[in-house]
Amino acid sequence: MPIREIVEQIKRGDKSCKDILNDIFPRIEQGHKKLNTFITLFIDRAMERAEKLDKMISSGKETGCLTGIPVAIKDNMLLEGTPTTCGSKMLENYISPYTATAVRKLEEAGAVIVGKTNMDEFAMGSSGENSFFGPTKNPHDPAKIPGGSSSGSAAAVADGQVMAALGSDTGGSIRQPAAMCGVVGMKPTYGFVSRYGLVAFASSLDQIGPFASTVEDAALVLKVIAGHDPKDSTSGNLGGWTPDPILKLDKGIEGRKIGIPKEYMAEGLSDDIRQRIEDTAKGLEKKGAIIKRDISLSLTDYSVAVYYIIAPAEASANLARYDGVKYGYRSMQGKDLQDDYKLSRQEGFGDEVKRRIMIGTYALSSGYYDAYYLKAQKVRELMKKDFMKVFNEVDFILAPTTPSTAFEIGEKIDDPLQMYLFDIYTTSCNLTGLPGMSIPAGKDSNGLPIGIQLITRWYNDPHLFTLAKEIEKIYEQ
Amino acid sequence: MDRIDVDKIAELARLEFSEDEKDRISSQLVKILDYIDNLNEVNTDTTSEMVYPGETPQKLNPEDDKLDEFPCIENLTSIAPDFGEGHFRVKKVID
Repeated sequence: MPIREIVEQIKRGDKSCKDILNDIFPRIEQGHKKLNTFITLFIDRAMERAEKLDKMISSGKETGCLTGIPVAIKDNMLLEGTPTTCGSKMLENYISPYTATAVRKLEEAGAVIVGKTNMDEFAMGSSGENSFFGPTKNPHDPAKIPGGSSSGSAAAVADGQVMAALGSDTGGSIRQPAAMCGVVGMKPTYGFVSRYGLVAFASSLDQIGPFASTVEDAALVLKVIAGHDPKDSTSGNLGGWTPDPILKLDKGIEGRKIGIPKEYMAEGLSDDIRQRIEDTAKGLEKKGAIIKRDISLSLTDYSVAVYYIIAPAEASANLARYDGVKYGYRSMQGKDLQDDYKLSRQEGFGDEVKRRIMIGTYALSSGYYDAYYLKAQKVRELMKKDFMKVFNEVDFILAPTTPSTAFEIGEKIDDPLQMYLFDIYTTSCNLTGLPGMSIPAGKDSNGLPIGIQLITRWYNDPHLFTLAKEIEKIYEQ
Repeated sequence: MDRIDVDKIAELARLEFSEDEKDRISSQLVKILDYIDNLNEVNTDTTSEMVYPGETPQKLNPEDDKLDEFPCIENLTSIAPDFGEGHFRVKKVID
């Protein structure tokens, strides 16, 4: 049932917010035990919220469009008074001093936050295996990865533990777990959703976005959390106007031009996913869309290289604050302040985080800055121009989200470069600021979910949901 | 590339690796940086670097840049490893 209809039932008095929570709690507890979806659950807090909302409804007060809906948020978003660990020993005991704007908007709309979900440490990872609190497992096959870094949020929605969740996406960290877990996951245009209260990984790449089981539900959550925020100086200011993701949902795609980049369909992509893209294209042609199968994004092969200079470089700066002084883990072994810094960071961070800090520090260091960081930012600008050229020919891009479906937990953990190459189709959206969504497109020959990716121009996010809705109908049939 | 100066980079990053860890991280970083070197194939002679990851550069409104009181200082001080007498306390830096 769509979130919209559940909220209508609650507001009519057919069900209470407490009823909804009591129905879902056993599912959360069992699911979390099996899949390790949450780092912190706050059932009591959720129940108090539900009771408060029920009182407001019964006294005739207005409540929002997500009233009573159980949601989860990735554990890198602050919610005042609750732990925010970022999946790391470094912040294991950190209590959020304030609430993130996107999270505040969810609560103001009446959503009931049940807990903070598991994630790759400091959002660094594509598999869900890099959490200090242990890996999350894929609901479709617990021996497989759920994708990352928003692993817990994707798995919790896929497993029916919550009706929607928030994740963050820096290089694919919403879209990839959405694909692996068979749910809708969307990274909005850079600046569409405030980053205030999102723990920074790479500030020019990070965006908060929704997970849901359906396109309509994801659109509703995005509508709630989107909009200019003066507390985030990178937040897009469109002169008081915020594009409405719900508005265009049922407009159809007749006459719309959709391109499939030939570089994305080359060697390295699994046959099942390649075929599914082609099946989807044929389905969209029947609905009146015009498919162009020969568009070119010539810099695709360089996107992983550009990303793995810029993201670690920004991360090395953003994670410099973790020194054990004002918050976070402090080592007991240091003999002086410099020792305290080094040992706190060495002991507090996991291997992947330290690896990326090292890459980023190297790329920004004297003598290497021009060759690495500056070069990457220039190629990034060329990539943006590449996409602008393509969007003169087409309205949307149809692409794979990942080169394959979910692989075994532990399969790629010893080869960081192999893991990084898995991001080939998702990093471009973050580097260029473009909105991208992964939506479920059936399963592969092993029964694992396939996700396909849709990309469009900046701030054309509502129309991305229009296209996604049509694809959803194809696979419902 | 054969090796990177792990000690120098670790010092800049305020990290400290054991000898075994240094070998492992050096070989991993060399492999990654060798891959990244493919960016040299792209001609960027007449390109300037990206300023803002979107189509429209941000126009910052000076009126948005207001100084606010943080509503609850206790939320910040209570989570510090060692806070007292109005200070975040660390080991002494001057002998």
